[in-house]
Amino acid sequence: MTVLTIVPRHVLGKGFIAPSDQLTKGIIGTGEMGRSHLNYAGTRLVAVCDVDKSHLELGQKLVADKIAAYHDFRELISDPNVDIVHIATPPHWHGIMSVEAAKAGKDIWCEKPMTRTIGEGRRVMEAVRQYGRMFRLNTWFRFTDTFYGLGTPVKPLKKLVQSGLLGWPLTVTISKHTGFDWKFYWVGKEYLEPQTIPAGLDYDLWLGPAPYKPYNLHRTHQTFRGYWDYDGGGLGDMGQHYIDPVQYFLGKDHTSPIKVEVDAPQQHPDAVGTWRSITYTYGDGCRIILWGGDYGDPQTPYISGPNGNVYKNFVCDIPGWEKKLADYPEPEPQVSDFIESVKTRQPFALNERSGFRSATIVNMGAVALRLNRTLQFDPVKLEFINDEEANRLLWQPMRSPWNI
Amino acid sequence: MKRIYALISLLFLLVNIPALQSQENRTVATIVADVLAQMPANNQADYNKLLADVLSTGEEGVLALVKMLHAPGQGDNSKVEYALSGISNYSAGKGDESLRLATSNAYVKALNIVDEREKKAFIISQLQIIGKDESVDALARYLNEESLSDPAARALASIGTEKAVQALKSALLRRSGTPNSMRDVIFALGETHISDTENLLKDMIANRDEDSQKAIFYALSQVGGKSSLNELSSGAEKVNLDWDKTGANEAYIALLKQLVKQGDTQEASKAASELLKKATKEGKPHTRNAALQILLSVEKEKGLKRVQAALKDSSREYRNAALDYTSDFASREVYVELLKTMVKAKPEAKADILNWIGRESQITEKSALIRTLNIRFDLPAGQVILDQLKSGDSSVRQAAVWALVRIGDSSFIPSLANLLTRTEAHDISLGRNALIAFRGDVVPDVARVISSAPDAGKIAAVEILAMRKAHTRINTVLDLIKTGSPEVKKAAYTALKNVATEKDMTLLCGMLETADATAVSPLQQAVIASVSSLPAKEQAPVISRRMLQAEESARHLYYVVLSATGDRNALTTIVTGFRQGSGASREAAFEALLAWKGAESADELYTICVDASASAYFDRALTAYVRSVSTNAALTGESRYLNLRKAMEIARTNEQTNTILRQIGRTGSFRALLYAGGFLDDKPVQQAASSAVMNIALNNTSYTGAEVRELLNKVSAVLDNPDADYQRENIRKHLEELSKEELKPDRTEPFVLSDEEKKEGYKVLFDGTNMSEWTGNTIDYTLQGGAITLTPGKGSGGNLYSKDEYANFVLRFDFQLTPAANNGLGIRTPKEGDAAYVGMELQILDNEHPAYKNQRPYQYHGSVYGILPAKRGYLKPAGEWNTQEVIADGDHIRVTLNGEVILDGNIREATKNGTPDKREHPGLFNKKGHIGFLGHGSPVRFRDIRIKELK
Repeated sequence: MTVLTIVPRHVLGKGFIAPSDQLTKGIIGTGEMGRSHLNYAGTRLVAVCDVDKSHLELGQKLVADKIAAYHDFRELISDPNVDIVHIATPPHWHGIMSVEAAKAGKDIWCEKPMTRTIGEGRRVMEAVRQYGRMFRLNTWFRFTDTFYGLGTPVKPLKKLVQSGLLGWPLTVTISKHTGFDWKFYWVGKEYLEPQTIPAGLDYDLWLGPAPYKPYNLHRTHQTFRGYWDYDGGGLGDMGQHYIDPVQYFLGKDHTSPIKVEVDAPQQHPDAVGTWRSITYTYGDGCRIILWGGDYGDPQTPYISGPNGNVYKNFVCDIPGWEKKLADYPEPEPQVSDFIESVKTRQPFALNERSGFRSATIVNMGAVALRLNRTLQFDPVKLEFINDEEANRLLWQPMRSPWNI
Repeated sequence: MKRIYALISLLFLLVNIPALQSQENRTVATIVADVLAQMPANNQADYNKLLADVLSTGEEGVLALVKMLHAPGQGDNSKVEYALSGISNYSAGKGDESLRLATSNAYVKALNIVDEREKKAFIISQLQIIGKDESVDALARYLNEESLSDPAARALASIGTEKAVQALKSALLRRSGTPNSMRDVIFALGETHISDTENLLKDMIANRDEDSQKAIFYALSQVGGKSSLNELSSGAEKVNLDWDKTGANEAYIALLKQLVKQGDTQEASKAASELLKKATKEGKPHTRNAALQILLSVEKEKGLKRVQAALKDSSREYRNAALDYTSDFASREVYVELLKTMVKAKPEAKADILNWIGRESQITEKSALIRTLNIRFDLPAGQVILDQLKSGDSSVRQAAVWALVRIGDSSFIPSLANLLTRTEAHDISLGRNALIAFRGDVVPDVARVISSAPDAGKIAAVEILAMRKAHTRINTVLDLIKTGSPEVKKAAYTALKNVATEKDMTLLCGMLETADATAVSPLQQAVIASVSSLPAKEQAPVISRRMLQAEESARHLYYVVLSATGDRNALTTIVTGFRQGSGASREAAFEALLAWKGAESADELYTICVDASASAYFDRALTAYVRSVSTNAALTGESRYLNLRKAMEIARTNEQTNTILRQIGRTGSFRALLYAGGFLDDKPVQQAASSAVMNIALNNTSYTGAEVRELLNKVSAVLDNPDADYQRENIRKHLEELSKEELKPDRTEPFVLSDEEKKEGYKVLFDGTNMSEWTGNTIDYTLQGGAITLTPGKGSGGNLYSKDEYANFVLRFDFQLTPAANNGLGIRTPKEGDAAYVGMELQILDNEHPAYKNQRPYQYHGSVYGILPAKRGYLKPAGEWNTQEVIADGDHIRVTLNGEVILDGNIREATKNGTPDKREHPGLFNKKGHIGFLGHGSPVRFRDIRIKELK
């Protein structure tokens, strides 16, 4: 019997991976979401971090080995034993932590939504590139698995769309009727009584870059999703899952919509509310429409083009489409193993650039909802056109000492 | 719930006060109150109108609203916050500078009239998004104040003008702040990118805590120039060119990038080049990457040598970073040179360059350029890449293949097809994946290489022909069936259905009739495919004819083909085949029945299920029956449910029950909901039952009532799956919505007495249109949707009294409770004091709620509180309307609830040995008094109140 000795990477020097060496990971945020990151195969968990003691203890118990446990994420990202930093905190931390991890020379596996503002997303993109890091966003429908209630993976949709059989431009409708549910129970409460901060929770560090507001349990743990300071409700929480594959099959990974329109009740400045529809339009006329709750026409197709429609379960109404489609190429395979990406330094399928674009769709919607008006966007300059207020939401200064 | 009430009350205002005052006559307070009542606006039109309304009051409205803000924990600010943030967004979004200015100025004033930190912070947060220079002085006042320096500094950073910078700078110069407030100011300065604070910041570096150092480093990296180079470079060196909490390394790199932007490229290059060397030496690959990026951003094409050197580096990370940065300036010449470098490079670097070329050619603006590259006048770039297919290193071959696919020139197809003739499995699968993803006609070349390919290559090739539906190549596929190895044969058989056309039908039928067992199924599929291009009407007759011509032993092979035609006569043939056949023939007919796509097979499937002699078919027939009735779009949800229920009655296993329950959950039928609810206690099928109940209830808001609530609560308790928390939250929300729905007005016409009551002399105390007969707490008891509605504020909700007093009477009214609601009906009571003692209280209580299970009968609904017990069990479920009649005649009290007498007694007799609750009831024998509704903190509604006085 051979005894395997695993040499930690830092002993061999950074940037060098021994062939036998298994990569290591550290998880920031060991709530329910973060703990599930243990299951992402190919790496060995060596460190966990959480600002809530009870979560940190759960994180430590994830593996039988003794692993490092940190209160402050900066200790984790500067731990030489950690190769890949997993970020599973609420979204108001995603940007900072990704950028700091990049500065520390780590590769990054970040939860969705990538960031909670467009400005932060830009910084992540710049920092990851500047330091030559590998980044993956944790949603996977563009390259694997059946795409929520749609009843098909994305690959055949991509093939059909890129064949041009449906014509152009296309309109994609994401709604309950087409198999997607905007989780509207992630709304916030407009009035929160201040409460005593529980022992074991470092609320100041939990808030981090977010404006100080008196503690209430509902702001933290899973329900944080209902507050604009930290996330954006069902749109923030589920948006990238649903929208990213659409961006992929429309071939829009390098650009953004030029307009966003909303139909919604007025939003509270702190608590996220519900909405009826959000409509994005690209420069070439393609549209992505989100319908909340039961809003919209139940007979609506998922994809609609001048020459045909695609419904749930990949039902297409073009006569003989299967035969016609046989003449067209399959979509190219994608790099869908992040560990392979890290080792070969080839960008992951959903990386900081494509991820930034799909997060931008989510974040454009959030700004339009909050301001309750139609906004025009410049997909090159990455800012709203002639709307200073909207641009101030796009780039929000942070509570010191946090910045990005 | 409150929001709904507010909307309802608003509707009433609109309906009942036709004299809607004109704008000018309304006071600021009225306008503000009106707007608040309608917050949040439901849509953009309402939003714009309401905010234009409140803004018509100028700053007065803003100030009035600000004055309504409560300190944290002192009251609900949500409406005011909706209004104020709406005002900010509306003023800034209108494109009317004077409007924005007026609002901003109002906020500036408002800052002076509030004290608490949270109120000020809220106002500052509004200035952060709409303020400009007019607000700078007001914001600057908080910069040295620890509790507010953070929001104020952030607001000034967002404003970002020269004046804002000067304010931040003055705050620094005053040096009167705390270390934390100074830090806030410095970070804000960094955000502004305006540079005249550089020297001031440089002077502050020494002796600071980590966070303040971080602030200074950051700010200098943003506003600094050449003269900050020394400070930041020594900062970075102190932390060994790596990450630390002060961000020194990043600040230095950011400064160098700033220098490039400012045009100080020489200094930047010199420093970056030093940094590159040191980072290499110190083993800091990420810092090294950053330095390289800066250098290449200056040098561009001139940095080609540097890129080529980087490509010789042993670090894959560095090589790929170099290529990534090269993308920013890659020209025709750069691509050509790097392809030359590729040719001579080591395999790993070769693969990196080829992968990069592949990625580059996916960029729309670059693809045409890359496609037309020539290494020399007689050597196209494509050829150089094609040559790499001969590389001994598989990662190079792989990178070359994908570069070729992405460049996409059809001249590459033959070489890619040749990969199928290689011996290595990796090459064959590479070739297959490349060819199926290739844009262009790959079929001729794929067909060409088949004969010379090894088995794996043949299999891949035949798969490609199938995917591209290469009808012209059916003979190639047929050849493989004849000559191939067993594996190749199998693949060729599978491919047949994709290459067959109607003219191949006779041939395929012949093959089918003589096929060995393994070939039957693919050949049937091929026949189905070939017949499918015939007109629908001809398909079944053609197959039936062929069937009759076939030898008897082969006829059953056509049942599945018949099934695929969907023809009704074909179904008859199949059914007959099943009923009269035996052995393989019967089995084939059964399979064909299972494969039937339409709903027409359902009856026969059910017949098989209940036919004891066909028990071997039971499980499969039941599954198919369930699928058939559940997917039949012609059936209503109700009839799908009834059909599924039939299946449930004969189901034998938990698995079958679960399958049926899942489908029942998709019927949307109310009866199905209740039916599925019956399975909630049966552990093995509990989860499927839960999903069914949940799916139906949550998608049908009209399904209300106690049964639905109870089932949903039960579902919530038993749900067990990874999404259970989400689902429970969904159920909770749904139940909340249901309560709102149930409280909606259901009466639009005023109540009128029946003819009988008119004759008997009843008087109406409340008909749904006004509360003129009532007095007391008319703030919490309001007229909503035709009912007196108690929406308790902070306290118990207080009491509402009739204006007149009554002695002996018959009182009739309807009431509606919310779950666990508690109220009371006071009679013969004064308008002050606790009616239960100073008068008499007839309990009004949702005593079916578990919260009250330990109560005494004299506390039950209807009881004379503490004196006479009532019967329990006649209340309708919370949310539904109850009808009650109370007769008070001297000492005799009788209460009839929903037609049932629940109390009939004499208060004097009941108390002759003292009061049952052992308490003093001094008002028990009052001769007369008011009628009252006695609030105990729960939402309750009353309507149709009328009274007949007894003489």
